[in-house]
Amino acid sequence: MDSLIRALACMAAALSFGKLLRQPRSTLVFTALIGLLGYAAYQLIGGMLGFFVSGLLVGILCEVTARVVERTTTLFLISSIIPTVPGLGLYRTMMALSENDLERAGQIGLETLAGIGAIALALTFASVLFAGIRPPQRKPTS
Amino acid sequence: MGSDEVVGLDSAALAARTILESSGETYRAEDTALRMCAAYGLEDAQVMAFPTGFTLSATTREGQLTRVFRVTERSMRLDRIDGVNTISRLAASGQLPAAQAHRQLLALRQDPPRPWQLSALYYALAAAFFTVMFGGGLLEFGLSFLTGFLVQALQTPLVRRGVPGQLRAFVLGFAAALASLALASLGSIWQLPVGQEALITGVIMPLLPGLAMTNAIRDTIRGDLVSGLARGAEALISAVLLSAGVAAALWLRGMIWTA
Repeated sequence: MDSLIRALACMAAALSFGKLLRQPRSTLVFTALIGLLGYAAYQLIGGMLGFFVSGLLVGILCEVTARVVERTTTLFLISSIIPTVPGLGLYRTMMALSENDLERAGQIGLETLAGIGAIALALTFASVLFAGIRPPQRKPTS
Repeated sequence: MGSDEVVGLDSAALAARTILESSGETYRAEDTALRMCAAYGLEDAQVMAFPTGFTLSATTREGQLTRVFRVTERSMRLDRIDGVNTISRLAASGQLPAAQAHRQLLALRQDPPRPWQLSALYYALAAAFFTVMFGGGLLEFGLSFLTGFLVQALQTPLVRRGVPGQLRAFVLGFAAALASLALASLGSIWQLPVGQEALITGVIMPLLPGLAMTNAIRDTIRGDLVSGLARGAEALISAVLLSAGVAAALWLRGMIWTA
């Protein structure tokens, strides 16, 4: 029950965030679903690998969806990845910092940074996978 | 209005400018400008875009023409990125004459501004649902909604007064954490335990520089190293300042609490 509520909240959050960024209406359903899948993947696996797998999943799903519905990937990516971004780690780091607990701040802070790095790396991989299979680019021939 | 070619160049420049002002990727601004130049028969089109401006030049019958734009204020406008994309696709397929593309771009840039209450409502909803996602209950949901509404309401005058984005991150992080802490203390007076962690984290989630980070990655992959680094630095500085704002509020509360 608890995880069901969280899952629904995750979708609603991604949706509201998309509305805040004025994402076109027809793309909102996809971001809510992809956002949920990414967050679920992170919750199931956890740790650094969780961030990486989640980022990879979100990245690939966004690229595929963008090609299927012929919209740009950016529209999907931003609100889909936001539930996975380690906001909790950031808060805990600041909490430890304000309590002068440098050891804990350093540990959690490093974990958070590494988590962001893992997501970034995974999104990069996903983009590179698809960079080759896009419609031929009309580059100017000079 | 000049010849068709000049209008074509102008609309290509306007398209690139709109993308950059809507926080679109730099490579997208360049690609779009080149595609539109090609569609309107401009030769030797060259474009060099950065997150903060671009130059576009092409050869017309009237000689070499250049357009330069400085982009000072950027905001997140996914609808405009989508709109420009549609226009440039139509232009590339030859279905949209230059003058018409120019008119459509101008119309796209002049859509009525959204009332701040609506943005605040969406921010509040996003914050409240993030709070629940982090384990908050009904009480935290309500408090997060209130705080989120307040944070976005504060952001609007800051943007209007031209407070730089990085400084805004600090102020908003501070305000979000301080308001959450105040509400949590109020709750404890009435014997209502408030999940402070879920509350604050939920409220700051929409402020995290996700857009800047994603675009930094996408620009870097396309080989646009200057833009990638610039945006990466932007994302990092925003995140650090946002965290500093939160830390400042937490620290302030600790001072008062112990006193």
